[in-house]
Amino acid sequence: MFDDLTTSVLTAAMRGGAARHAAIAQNLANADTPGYRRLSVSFEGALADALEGDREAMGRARAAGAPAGGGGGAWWDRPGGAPALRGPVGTETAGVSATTDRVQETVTRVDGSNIDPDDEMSQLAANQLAYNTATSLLVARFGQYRSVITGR
Amino acid sequence: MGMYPALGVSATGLAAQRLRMDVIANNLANVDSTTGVGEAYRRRVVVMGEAPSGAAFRLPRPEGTQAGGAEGDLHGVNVMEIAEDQSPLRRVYDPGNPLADTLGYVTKPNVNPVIEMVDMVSASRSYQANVTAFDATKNMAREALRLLQ
Repeated sequence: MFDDLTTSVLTAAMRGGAARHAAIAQNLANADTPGYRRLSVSFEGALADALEGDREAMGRARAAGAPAGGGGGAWWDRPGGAPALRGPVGTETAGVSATTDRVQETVTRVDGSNIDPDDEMSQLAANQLAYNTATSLLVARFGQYRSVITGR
Repeated sequence: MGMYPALGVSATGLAAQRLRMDVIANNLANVDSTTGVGEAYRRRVVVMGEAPSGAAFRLPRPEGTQAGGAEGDLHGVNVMEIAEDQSPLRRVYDPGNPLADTLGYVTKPNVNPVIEMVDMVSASRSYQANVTAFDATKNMAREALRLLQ
């Protein structure tokens, strides 16, 4: 029931945000470690690609369920009967995982580390905001389900 | 969820910076400690390193990160050792001192209070950064718990 694309995308975004947050916490913990190379997390590109794939799959499923003669009307008025159940939605976005990479270049400090605490702090704030946005949207999504279930 | 490892990572940072602060306080307290004729307290420094996998703080890998090598394993920071600064000790002419050598010089520690003060500010700011990260983790976890309301 809850396997819609919105839930799947928002869950993947929360997963990626949590992984990035852990990497930033690791970077900040090692702010005074000589020779430390910062960790960087990426998932947005993979998520966008997976979302595109899922949209295409939904389009194909919709086209397969459309009436053959191009006639309108609800499926119960058509001779073919009920259309085939749509395939599972959001399979690609559900499989998106965050990739953690070590940034080797851009050594800016004399101790060989490439950590800039100010940069990490701003990324921490930005990531927190993105994570909280995804959470709020997911809360709103479940609120919609709740109002459908309870009828108020 | 992958939130709780981040709390542990920040905790290792807090512990390391607090230890660094303790060592700096020890250096400042011993700024004039002569331990014998020709001997004096040596400045101590905390040597930090990234905690390897299998470190004392063993933390689970956050869900959703790839296990590729050490990149996926987050263990925070580790204090490798508290090393002694091997730079030369100071010598002060004070022939009346019972610890003076035959030429009348007393050996004093290689502690420079200015350097210690700067290190103290650095440790304090790093500690604050870890507190901020810890707080952010708490906020994110609380936000995620709203899904249950």
